[in-house]
Amino acid sequence: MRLNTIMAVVLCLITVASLAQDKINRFRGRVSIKDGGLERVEFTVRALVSKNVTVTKNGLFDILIPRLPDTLIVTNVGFERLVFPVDQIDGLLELEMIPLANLIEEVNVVNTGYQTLKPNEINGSTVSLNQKDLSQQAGVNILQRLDGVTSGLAFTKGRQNGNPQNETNISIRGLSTINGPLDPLIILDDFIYEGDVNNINPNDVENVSVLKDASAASIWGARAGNGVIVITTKRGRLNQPMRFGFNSNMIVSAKPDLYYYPTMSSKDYIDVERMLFDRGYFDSRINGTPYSALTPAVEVFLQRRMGEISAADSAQRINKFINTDIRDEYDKYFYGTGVTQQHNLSVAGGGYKHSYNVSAGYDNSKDVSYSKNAKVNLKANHMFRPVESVTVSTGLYYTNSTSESGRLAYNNTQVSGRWPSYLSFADEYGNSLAVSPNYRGVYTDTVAGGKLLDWKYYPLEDFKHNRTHNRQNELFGNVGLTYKIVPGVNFSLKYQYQRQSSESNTIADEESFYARNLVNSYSQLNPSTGLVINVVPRGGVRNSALGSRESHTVRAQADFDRTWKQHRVSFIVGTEAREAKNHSMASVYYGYYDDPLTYTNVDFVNSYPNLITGNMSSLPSGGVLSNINNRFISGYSNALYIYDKKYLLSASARADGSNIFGANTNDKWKPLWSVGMGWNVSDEKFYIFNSLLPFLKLTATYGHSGNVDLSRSALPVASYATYAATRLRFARISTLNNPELRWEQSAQLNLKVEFASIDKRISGTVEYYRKKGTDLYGTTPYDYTAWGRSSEIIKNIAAMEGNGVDVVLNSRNLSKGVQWNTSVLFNYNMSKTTDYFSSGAKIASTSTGNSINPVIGQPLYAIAAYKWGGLDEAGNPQGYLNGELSTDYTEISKEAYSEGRSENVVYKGTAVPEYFGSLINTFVWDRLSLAVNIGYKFKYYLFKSAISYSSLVDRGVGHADYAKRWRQAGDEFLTDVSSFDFSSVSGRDAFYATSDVNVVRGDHVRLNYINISYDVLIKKNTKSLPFERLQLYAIASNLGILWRANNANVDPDYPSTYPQSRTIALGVRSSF
Amino acid sequence: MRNICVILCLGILLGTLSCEKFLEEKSDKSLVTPSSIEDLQALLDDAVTMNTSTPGFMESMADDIFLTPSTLASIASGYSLIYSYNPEYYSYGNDWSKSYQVVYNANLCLERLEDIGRSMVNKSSWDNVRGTALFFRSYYYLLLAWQHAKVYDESTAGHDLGVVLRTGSDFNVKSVRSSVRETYEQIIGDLKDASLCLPDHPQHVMRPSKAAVYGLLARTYLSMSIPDSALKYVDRALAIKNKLMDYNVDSDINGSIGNTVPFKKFNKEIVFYTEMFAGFGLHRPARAKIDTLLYASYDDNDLRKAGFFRANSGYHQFKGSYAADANIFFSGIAVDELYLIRAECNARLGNVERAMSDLNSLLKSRWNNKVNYVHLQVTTAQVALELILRERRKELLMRGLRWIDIKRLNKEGAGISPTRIVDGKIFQLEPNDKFYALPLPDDIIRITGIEQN
Repeated sequence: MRLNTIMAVVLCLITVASLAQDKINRFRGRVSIKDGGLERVEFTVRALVSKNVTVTKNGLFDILIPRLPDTLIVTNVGFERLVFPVDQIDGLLELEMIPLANLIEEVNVVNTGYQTLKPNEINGSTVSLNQKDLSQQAGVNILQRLDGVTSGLAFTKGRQNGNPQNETNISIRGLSTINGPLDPLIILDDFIYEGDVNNINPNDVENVSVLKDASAASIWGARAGNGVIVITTKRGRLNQPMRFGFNSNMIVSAKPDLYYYPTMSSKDYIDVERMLFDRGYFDSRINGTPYSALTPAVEVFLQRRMGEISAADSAQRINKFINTDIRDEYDKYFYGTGVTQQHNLSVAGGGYKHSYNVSAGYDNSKDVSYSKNAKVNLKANHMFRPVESVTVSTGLYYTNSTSESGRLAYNNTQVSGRWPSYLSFADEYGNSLAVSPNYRGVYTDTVAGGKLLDWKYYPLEDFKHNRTHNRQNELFGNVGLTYKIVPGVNFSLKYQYQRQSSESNTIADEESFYARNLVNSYSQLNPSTGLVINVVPRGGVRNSALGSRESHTVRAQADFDRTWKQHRVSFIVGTEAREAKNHSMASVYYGYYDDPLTYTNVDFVNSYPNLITGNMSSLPSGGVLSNINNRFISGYSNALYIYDKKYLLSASARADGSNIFGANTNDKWKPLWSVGMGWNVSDEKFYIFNSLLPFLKLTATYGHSGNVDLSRSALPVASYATYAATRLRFARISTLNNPELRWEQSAQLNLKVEFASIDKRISGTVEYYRKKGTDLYGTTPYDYTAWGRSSEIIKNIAAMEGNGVDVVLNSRNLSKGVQWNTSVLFNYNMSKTTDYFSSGAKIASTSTGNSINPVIGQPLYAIAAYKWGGLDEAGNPQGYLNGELSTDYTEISKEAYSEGRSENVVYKGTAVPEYFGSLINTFVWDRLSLAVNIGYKFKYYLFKSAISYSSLVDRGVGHADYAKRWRQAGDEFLTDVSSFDFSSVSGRDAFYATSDVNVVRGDHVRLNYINISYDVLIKKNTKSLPFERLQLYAIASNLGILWRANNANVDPDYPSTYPQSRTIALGVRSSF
Repeated sequence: MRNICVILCLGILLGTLSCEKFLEEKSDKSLVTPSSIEDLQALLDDAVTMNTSTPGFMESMADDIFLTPSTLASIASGYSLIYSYNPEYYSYGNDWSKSYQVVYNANLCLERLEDIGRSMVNKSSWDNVRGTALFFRSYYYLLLAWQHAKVYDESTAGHDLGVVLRTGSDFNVKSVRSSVRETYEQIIGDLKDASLCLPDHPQHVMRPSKAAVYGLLARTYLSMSIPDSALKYVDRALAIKNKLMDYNVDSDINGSIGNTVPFKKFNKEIVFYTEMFAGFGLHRPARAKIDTLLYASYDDNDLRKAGFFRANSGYHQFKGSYAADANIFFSGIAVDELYLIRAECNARLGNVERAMSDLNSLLKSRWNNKVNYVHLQVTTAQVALELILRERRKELLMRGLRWIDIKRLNKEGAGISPTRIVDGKIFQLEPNDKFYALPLPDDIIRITGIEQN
């Protein structure tokens, strides 16, 4: 197996300089490879003036140069170009070539997707993460691994922000839009990636570059307003010996803590139900719709009232409910320990003319609610250089993933729209118990004289009979051709094809509640004969959905790179065309059986009465067909000029066109640009701080990027469908015509200082940026007499401004014996609305911070709450009306909302942290290394959940604060929880929930992860073993909160649901 | 070098020029920017938008229903204010928004029709779209006028406030309230125009037809207290469609009349089908109990008693909707309404015999056929009218017609005062109360500055 035969070639050849001829000078030399290497590598040696060329043999060359002085240039694709001036013959020339591979390993290059740049060639703001950074955390999602190690990048965790435009939950440097898309653009191997990020195996990733400012991102044009994340997978390199890599790990997630937040006790819950029952609250349901399901306790109260059971019997049953906590049931039956396994094997290498990288990965997981996932990744990259000027590269990436749904997730058992906390799923002998979600058991048992299917829902059984299977196949193929026209001028063509197909099948078999309920509901009972006719055939129901996503991208690019004396000019210019198609279709099969595979045709057209309610409806047909085809064409250019390695000027420009629906031709093209300059101050002669800071660089950039929302349009857009009752095709306007609509603009200024002390003991970057968004989409109320479908429309009416600071500090605290390094990431960001041309924007209304609430001068995600006036002597929450204490909630909200008065509304601050970052300490002692990452978020607020009595009464949603409520006069001095309000006074709950008594600080410090690794074997020490390196590692994540500012025990990342489970990953990584 | 650069630049330029074609491809195949006549017809066939949300506020306010104290306790306090005829702040998501969505569609179609132009080839579909658009706009304007304007009074119609008449799709045009006269003139003018465009019978009763236009014109004139014109158009409507269901046995009845959902959707009596918007939800069947005197006025052999009502908590709720759903009220035009319009107009014009003949035809079809139906006979027009008006209320309840009936009958001195009891307090709406023109949504008043009622 051991193929690593690095040979340090030391050839001592004595050459006698020939002085025989007077005119022709013959130079001889030896080319060696830094750190050793393959001797058979051929280098081209070229004399710049005389244009003579030769090739090395066994590292030696011999070249004739007619006139001196001249310059020798030694090249090979895999090596840095060497320039060596010669003016006289001086014995054997000793030249050393530096392999590019080494260069790449030494410094983190930044890949913009269009070119790879060294940090000293960039003016823009970027973060580059290498494999080491990315292996600090475990998990199957590559983006999750950026958390806590990327400056300027924030994750919104646990919070359901409900924004379909922010699927990644990532924001880079805050926001640049109010109503536009919020996701950063993701690039995989130089091309836009719109597939499922989970399909990218983190083990296959070489580098992730995050482009943060306008200068770095504007090359990606109109969709780069939120920043760009460029993911580059591993490649083989020329002249690299074959090397195998192996990585295998297991991640164990603890059972989630359903008890993290207290809930209302079952006793309190049943007391409320009893009170409602006694007050006749359920009577209209019992009399009006006698078939409607009742919660178990109400059922007992009813039976007692009807005299069907004795008082003792009733008390005993209720007692049993009181002692049941539904969380125990979920915890016992539906949650377990999650286990994820990841295995990956790769082989990479390269010779003189080609290189390759082939890998295979397999992931398998069972999550805490027993859902299963499996994924296979296969990857093959090949690069071939038939002649020195031509490079052909090919790549294939294939992913196959399957998943299967698990058990019932917490809080999913309802009874006629109520959520009782005391249901049990099994009796004391473990037999499955029934829940009646829609209809009363006593009713369904007797209706149609027992000719129907069992009409009860069994939580413990049902998930076995109602499962969703997903399957995804994704294939990427790319071909690239680079032709070196002359040195420094390349022309390249790239083509990428991507296809992702997905299939989802939800099969509710004949025993599932879904199928039985459907069959029964559509049963037609003939009262005279007693016969039952099934409109829905007995059997299961299968819902199938197929989707495919296909894209083609073609790119032609010219690269130019020349150096004359102190001038270096480098630029790229290119054009790109892209087409992305989405197809989807869905269908439903009734009377479905797996074995033998059959289904039955049904009548989707006619309406049938529901057996119980008598309402007429036709069968859900579930058919869907859609076909979306987005096309883009772009032209782009990026130029760099460096003078004397001290001064950098850069500029980029790009124009995008797309076939966005309804866009006027003029709006289809949008030019974007950026400029930047850099100055290596420490290279100046007058620089006097060489002893203190031998490296100091200043940069400034400014640029415009854009934000395109593909769903906006200037013409009225209608979508077609067919109306079942008339069977006529119909169209419906979904977007109102607004001819004045433009694309959003986002400008960003970035100022950066980079510095390093001697030996890089302390190094870092400090950046300040300002963002300005103009022409932003904003929703604004309008005279809906004009249309009526919505109360608000979208216009380019808003502007925002953000500014922030990104600081990265690295220090090498100890470097002998135990090495101790510290990295500090510090980020500040604040975005405010500066303009919002609508009456709504002047209004001081409350906002929960879960969505952007544009109020001029306030943060985008602001927390605004009613001023709290305490509880009155009857336990009612009080606010302020005209400056006076009041309980007139309607008037209070009117004052806040319609008169623009802000006295009764308090702006607490922002709902996204103003300050955030992390502290990473790394210790290395011999073969053991330890990294501890502590994250922090400061200065922000959130609403803690508050009791809503109308939810409690109308929907049976309990809340733990019930036990702390105001009960009697005097309690107002002891508690802030309002009294029970049966009559649902309008606005009372909403006032209480959004008053500032429920605002808590979100500031907290969290232990993100601890990573321990141990190198069992290192090649240097054990030459006899095949392994070059064998490393064991353990990573513990989601370790919990170390400190929090609020004393309400709220986890600010998970304010309403249990926090993410802790995980421990154990793994082994080796190369040989 | 230079040559290569030139070639590259040219290549990029050529690429750019050919991209316009590349970008012309439609991005979503199910989307259109409505431009063809088929698109416009499809906009008007959007039944959910066009046919299922007629104004329901006025039905909540009418005197056919009441709410029990326990129901009142379970609804938001603002709604119980409205229930007792007190103006209460209400905003988006209301009859106004639902109705003007229809008006927008109609206006968009009328605008685009102008662009397309009528030709020999497209004239029948062009006419159908035009007639349909005019009809829908008038249909909703009329209902909004009934709800939000004073009843038509020849002497004051010129300055009484009507509805906002929008005639284009541009949302930048400011809304202004027209006068009642302008409102009715627009409706009548458009309907007369539409009657020339539409076929006698529609492809589906969710589309308008000549019968529907004549029926709507009859409705309009009746509500303006112009019986002779109403009679002229109702005659034409009934000439096209006049079949009544027999409540004893009929292919359009589900099993027996006593069923929870007795009538089939799109049954033979329906001339034009619409459903009422739930709005404040006060008139939702499960909440709203039928006025006890009204319920008591049905004879036990009148099949409507079993067909229209079922017991709920000691009172009765309505279940006789032609929408075939216990929770949705039918608000369209049906043959029974046309019979009653003709009978009323004839009675008002002194044609007692013709009036009674229509009334008897209707009532006989509602009468238990196991018991002999005794033809009603009266001698004076006044008695006939009283009888007809009583049966009109009994036949057409919960169809959105009662509120305008109260308004127009009070104008002739009927003295109907709907009464509400909330928390033991009695609220009565006197015949001349300005609340009969129900308040417009508050946000519309705030944004547009138009005058509130």
